[in-house]
Amino acid sequence: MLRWTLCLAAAVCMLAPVAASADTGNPGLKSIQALAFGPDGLLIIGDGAGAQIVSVETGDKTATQWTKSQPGDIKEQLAGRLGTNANGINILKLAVNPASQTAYFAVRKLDGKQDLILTVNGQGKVNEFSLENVNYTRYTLPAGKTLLTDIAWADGQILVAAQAGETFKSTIFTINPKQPKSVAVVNTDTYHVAHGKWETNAPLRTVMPYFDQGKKYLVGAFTCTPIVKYPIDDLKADSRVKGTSVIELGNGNTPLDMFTYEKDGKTYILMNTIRMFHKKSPVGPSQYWTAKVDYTILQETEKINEDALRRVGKDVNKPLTERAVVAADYHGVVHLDRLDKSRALVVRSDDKGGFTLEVLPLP
Amino acid sequence: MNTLLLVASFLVLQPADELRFRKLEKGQVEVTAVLPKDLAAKFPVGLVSVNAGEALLRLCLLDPKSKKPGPPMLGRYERRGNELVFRPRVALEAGRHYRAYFGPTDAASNVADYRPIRPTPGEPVRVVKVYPTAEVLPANVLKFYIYFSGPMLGGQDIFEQIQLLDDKGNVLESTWLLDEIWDETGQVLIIYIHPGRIKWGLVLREIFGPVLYEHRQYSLVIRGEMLALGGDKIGKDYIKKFSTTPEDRVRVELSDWKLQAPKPGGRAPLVAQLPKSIDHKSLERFLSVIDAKGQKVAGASVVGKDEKSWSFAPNDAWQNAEYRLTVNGRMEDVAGNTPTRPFDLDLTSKQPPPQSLELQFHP
Repeated sequence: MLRWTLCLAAAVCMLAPVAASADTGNPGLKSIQALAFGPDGLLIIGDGAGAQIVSVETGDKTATQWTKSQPGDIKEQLAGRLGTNANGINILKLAVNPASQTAYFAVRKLDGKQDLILTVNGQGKVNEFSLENVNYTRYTLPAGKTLLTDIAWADGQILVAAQAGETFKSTIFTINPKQPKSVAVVNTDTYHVAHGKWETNAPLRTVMPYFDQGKKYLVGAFTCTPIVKYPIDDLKADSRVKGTSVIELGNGNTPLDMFTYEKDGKTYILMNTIRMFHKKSPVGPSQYWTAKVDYTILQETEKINEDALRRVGKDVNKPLTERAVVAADYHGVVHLDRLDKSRALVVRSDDKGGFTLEVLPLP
Repeated sequence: MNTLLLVASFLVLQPADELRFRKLEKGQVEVTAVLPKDLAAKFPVGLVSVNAGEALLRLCLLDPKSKKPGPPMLGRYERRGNELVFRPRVALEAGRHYRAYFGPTDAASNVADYRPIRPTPGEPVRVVKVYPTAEVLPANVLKFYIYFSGPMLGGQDIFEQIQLLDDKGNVLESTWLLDEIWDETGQVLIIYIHPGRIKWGLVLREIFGPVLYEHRQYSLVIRGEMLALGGDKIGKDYIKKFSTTPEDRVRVELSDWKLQAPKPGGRAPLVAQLPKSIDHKSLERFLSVIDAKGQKVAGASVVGKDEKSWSFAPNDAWQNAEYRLTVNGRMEDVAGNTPTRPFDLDLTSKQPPPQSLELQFHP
């Protein structure tokens, strides 16, 4: 039986000061590739085409009430506000503002390749979050134009993952907004180690923070769904930092979004994925499926890397562990974020071209 | 402004010619509605809130079949003179049918229609080039660049519309990494063969095998169903045929590059002959010529046939002095190998020592 698992090493190739500037007006984004929220409605936007991260004070702190799933097709509703139909837009990202529970969508209007942020409240009202006149801080990425996959707020730090573009590199940026004049951005190349024998580059798809015994980690998921943690504070210029692979959720899946939540006294990671081999070997009725993972697996110190736990073997529907299970109620979920302590807000595909916005109890 | 008061006082419908579309520069359009005198007196001059504006004036996309209006478009409302003016947030799309409604939402409204005219069809968008251009590629070729003559619409359908076929014309399945990577113009697409089927040791490759095998004939087919920005199909299939060599799993050896030094006093190009095809974007981005003073030499570079040569002509004549051709370690060949490491690094085999990333020449 194959036991290819992954451990990771990060070679820090740059620790460079970047310009951070606070201003009022329009931050002048060239793209909106990633969205995340910090405290008090602080919206963090990844603009890879503009080689910048921008944090915006939304001032959005008034709670909206979500009581049920929204009627109609969310993609049609977003598109209609932009004078087009569902085929005329792509929903790039969903982030729920924890200060208000308002949903923020990064939407690309395909005619013109124009990226905008649209909001949806609990009553289903769609508006634009205008960037015309906002208080913002800009962090310039020293690597130049790049493609960003995800952003996370980590207790005062901004974590940014970049994907492959013209080169198959793997880049992670960390930004500390509390030191705006000497913000350190760490650019890392990441290598997979398969069975301790081979190393290859692998871009991170989605990231979140993890805290354990006073230490801060970046937790990331790669294509083919290994979950890996990096000690952020250990990243030093001109050094190599080992990451730790704690579980693989199965091959042929690409992670999309993830977050943590508590239920019945336990903490879990919820992560949705898109499956490459859905037709040949489906995990569920949709190519989009979601995993519920025991959060304590991040504390694992023995069964790691090549010995890390695997959700399944070659048979994707024969579980090898109960610590990572398929969340059946989340089949078809394309985008997800935590709405509150007990619910998630999701965009679900009907696999026929339709998309609904739904409030789901956390599994 | 009290919206309800405004709506309640809108007792008399306006003549249809009081509601119209006004064309602006650069193809933009705004909708203007003449306010009744009693309303005009109460409406503040300047920007009007979206809620107040939408209560009176709405611009909607009509469904082409049912003729039902979609939700009001997002945009900016302004009282200008005796007019209420709406400027949509995004450009109206050619070929669609828009309708402006002037009046309360719960009563009959005046309407005015607008159908942005499609520009006279010119030359249809077509595929102009595919990189790598060589007709012989390693079986682990990592990605293709597809250049179109005009901006494309994009969307996840492209991963079905771009296909790899074997020598019998069978479409290979599950070939692509489902990342849609367009340049800012929407005219260049980077599409990756799924790295999980290229990397050594990953379960994906072990189960499903590589996408391409050595010593075989393949076709990259870009189907005519692909949609250009305006929604028109590109019409004709584009076919790039290529054969495969064994996989290339070694780093780019710069000592194998042959430099043809130019003569001093002239501006004839420096020519580098490369034993294997290098990613054309890498050649454009990651090579520099440095003079004896350490200054980057200004000039123009050209990527040669099959991306197996690179030439550089300086703006000023070559000096009779030492020059260096410097190579960024991120430069990739068509299989993702760089000068610093192969795409997959076999940790159990002896690796060559690091190589210099500079080649010296003396005109």
